[in-house]
Amino acid sequence: MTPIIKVTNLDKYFDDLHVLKDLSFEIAPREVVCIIGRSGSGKSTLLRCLNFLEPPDFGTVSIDGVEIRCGGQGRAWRKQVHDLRLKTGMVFQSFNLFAHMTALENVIEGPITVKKMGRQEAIELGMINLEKVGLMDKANQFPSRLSGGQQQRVAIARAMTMQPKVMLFDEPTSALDPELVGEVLAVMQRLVEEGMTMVTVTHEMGFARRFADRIMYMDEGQFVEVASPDEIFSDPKDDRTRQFLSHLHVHQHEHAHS
Amino acid sequence: MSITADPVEPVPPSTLESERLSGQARELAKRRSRRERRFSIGVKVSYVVLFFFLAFLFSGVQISIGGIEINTINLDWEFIRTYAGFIFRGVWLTILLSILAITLSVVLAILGALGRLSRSPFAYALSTFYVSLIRGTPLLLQIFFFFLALPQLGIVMSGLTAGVLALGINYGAYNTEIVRAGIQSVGVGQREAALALGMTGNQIMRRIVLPQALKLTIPPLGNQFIAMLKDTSLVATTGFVWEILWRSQKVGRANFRSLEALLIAAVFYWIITIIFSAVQDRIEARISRGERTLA
Amino acid sequence: MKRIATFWLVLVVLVMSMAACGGTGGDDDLLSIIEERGVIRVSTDANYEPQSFLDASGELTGFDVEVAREIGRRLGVEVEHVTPDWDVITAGNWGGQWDMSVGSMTVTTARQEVLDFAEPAYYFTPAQFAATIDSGIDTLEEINGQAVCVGVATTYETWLNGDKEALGLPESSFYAEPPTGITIVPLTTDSECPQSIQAGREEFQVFLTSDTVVQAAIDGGVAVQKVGSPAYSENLAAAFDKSGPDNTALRQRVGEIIQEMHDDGTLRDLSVKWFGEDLTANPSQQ
Repeated sequence: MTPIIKVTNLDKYFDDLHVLKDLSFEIAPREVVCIIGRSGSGKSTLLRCLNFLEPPDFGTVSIDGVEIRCGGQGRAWRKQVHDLRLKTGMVFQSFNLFAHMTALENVIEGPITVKKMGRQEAIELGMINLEKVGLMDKANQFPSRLSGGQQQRVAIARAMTMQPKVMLFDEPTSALDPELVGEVLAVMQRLVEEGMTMVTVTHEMGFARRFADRIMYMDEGQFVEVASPDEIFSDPKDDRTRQFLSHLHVHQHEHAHS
Repeated sequence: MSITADPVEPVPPSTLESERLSGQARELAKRRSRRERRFSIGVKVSYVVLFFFLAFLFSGVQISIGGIEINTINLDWEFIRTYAGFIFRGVWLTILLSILAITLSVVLAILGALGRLSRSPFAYALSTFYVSLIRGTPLLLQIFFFFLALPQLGIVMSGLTAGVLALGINYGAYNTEIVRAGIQSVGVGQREAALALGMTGNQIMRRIVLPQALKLTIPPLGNQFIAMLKDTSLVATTGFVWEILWRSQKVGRANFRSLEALLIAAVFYWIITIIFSAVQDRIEARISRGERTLA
Repeated sequence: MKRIATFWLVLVVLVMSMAACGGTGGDDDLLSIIEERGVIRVSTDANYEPQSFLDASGELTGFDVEVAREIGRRLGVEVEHVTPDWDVITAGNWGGQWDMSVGSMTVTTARQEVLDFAEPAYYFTPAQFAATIDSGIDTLEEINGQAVCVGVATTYETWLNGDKEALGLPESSFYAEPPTGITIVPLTTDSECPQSIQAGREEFQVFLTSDTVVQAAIDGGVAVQKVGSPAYSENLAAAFDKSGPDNTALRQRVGEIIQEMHDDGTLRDLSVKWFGEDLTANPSQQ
């Protein structure tokens, strides 16, 4: 099966700091990949390179047929980046909802402004997604009136309404109070079940263990270990992986329900 | 199997404990409101005292206290009665000038701020030059420039136009920094989310950043408007615009009653300022409440 | 939001373009422009009693104001008064902001370089020195070495500077030589000289202006007295901008009107009303 995401020889520098070192990998459609690692390992940077929020310095990124060689310039190149971004939806750690717009307005902003969709059509689409994340009744609320978990769910609906091929999650629950984490993970679970390709940077090991097809452990800009959750959690090959995992409370968010 | 967490029930405190706590809360609230009331009464009393002092100061009475002669200010109330209306009619021009000029200045400020933040070297240079030049020369000079210097180049404009242009361009330079600060204080996350959705720089600025930035700048811009109400008085120097100060100057000088005339003008400016400040407070309150329904 | 910004921008531009509509098309002459417009704009000084000043209800009144209104009436147009500073009026190049000056302006050679004057003059005033009563100055000789206040860009300033050529008045209208060793203190307009004295300012004790203004000050209770006989006499005429639309027809018409007003006694009556005497007869023809 052709990979939906293909990254070849990706390098990224912040001034002199080499934060991503010659990374290459592929992600298949419907695959759920979790990237884990310490802060400073480059995992967030890698994610943000996928939609060129951070432009990579060297290498190529290809998502669903849109291939971009890094280091380009000019109108045509910018159009390519634009097309790439239309293939991806991103959810941020700090939600980043547009503060001056209601939840529904947030959700329909992308389709109307970027895709030139008609307003009625956008509203219908947006309401469907808001209903999927369980917040149809909050459609006319401003972000300031929503809890963190609700804001993040709206953010997910916003990204989904652009009908992306791939969803990128940048530590989606790290800024949430513990009791709000669950509702967001539930939405993400639903996305997995619907077959969305997902790349997630996360500390939620419970989620990773249950839903990830692959886990990539990063350290100092490189993949240290890439394996299935079972392999990585029960039998990490590398010492660094083992050390990292032992610091995490793997069982923190697991609740047994029948 | 779901991963959602079960909410944990809070344990209610015992009845005795809760009574003690609510009693303490009541006592604290009482103490606070007593303190606030005392202060507010004190302020009101001070205002009354100040008012009576001023009334005495301008009453015109002469009294001797133990050998010391006290002469209070004797205002010509006849003059005030006669000319207050004439001076008052300048208020509309003052307000009109201010509104037109502040509008121009906000438009210029947005352009200037975008220029100062721009990656285009030309836009940056132009806006920096504008801000530096205007902030580096006196407002009065700029007013004279539009009114007296431009006619030498064949550009003649009415006193009103010269005033609006001079004030608008002048305040535009100062407001540039205000708008720029507003734009920069819109969190970078907003931009990133918009980028991730595929919005262009223009769209982001127009739909996401500027609306939020302008909301942030309403308090400082409101202050600028109130300052401008006073600066319109400088346009009196062109002789053409019969606003508050011009009117009070002319009748004051001609009748040797500058004290009364300028006091009248001062009171009018003061009242206008108070009114617009109250309006601004209302607007700010309305914005921070910000609840809208979908159109 | 963009729509609001556009709306305001359009509004501002509209207001400004309307306000700036002082300039006129190049081809028509001033008289036809005024007749078509139906309004003649006359410059005046709002603080120059008794020639032009604000009454209790803030309306402009005075000798010059009423002469201008009568001229407008006989031209068949409305009169609109505007109030630029005096030195802006005497500099010419009005840019079409106003059409005529009826402001007790003396015909001088210097001014004739930028302005055209209607003939005949509509009245004549003597230039009169005045001094504070306290100063004890009561002869012209005692004025030597003093600080003397005048209105800026007036003939009084020019004469004190010894620049008779710039005045170009006939020799017969000069009755005295300017005092020597004086310091000239120019203020925005003549009336501000006695007004400053009344306000207790001590930068000067002497001022020079039209006899009418001195008289008005004395009548108004300012503690000044006339010093010596008049220094010179001046003819005061309506003035028109040399630049801008051709003023020949207008100037001639106004000249005719002023002659009519001399002949039918209108000017004489106005002069008596405002000055208490008839200043409309040419002193050099007496």
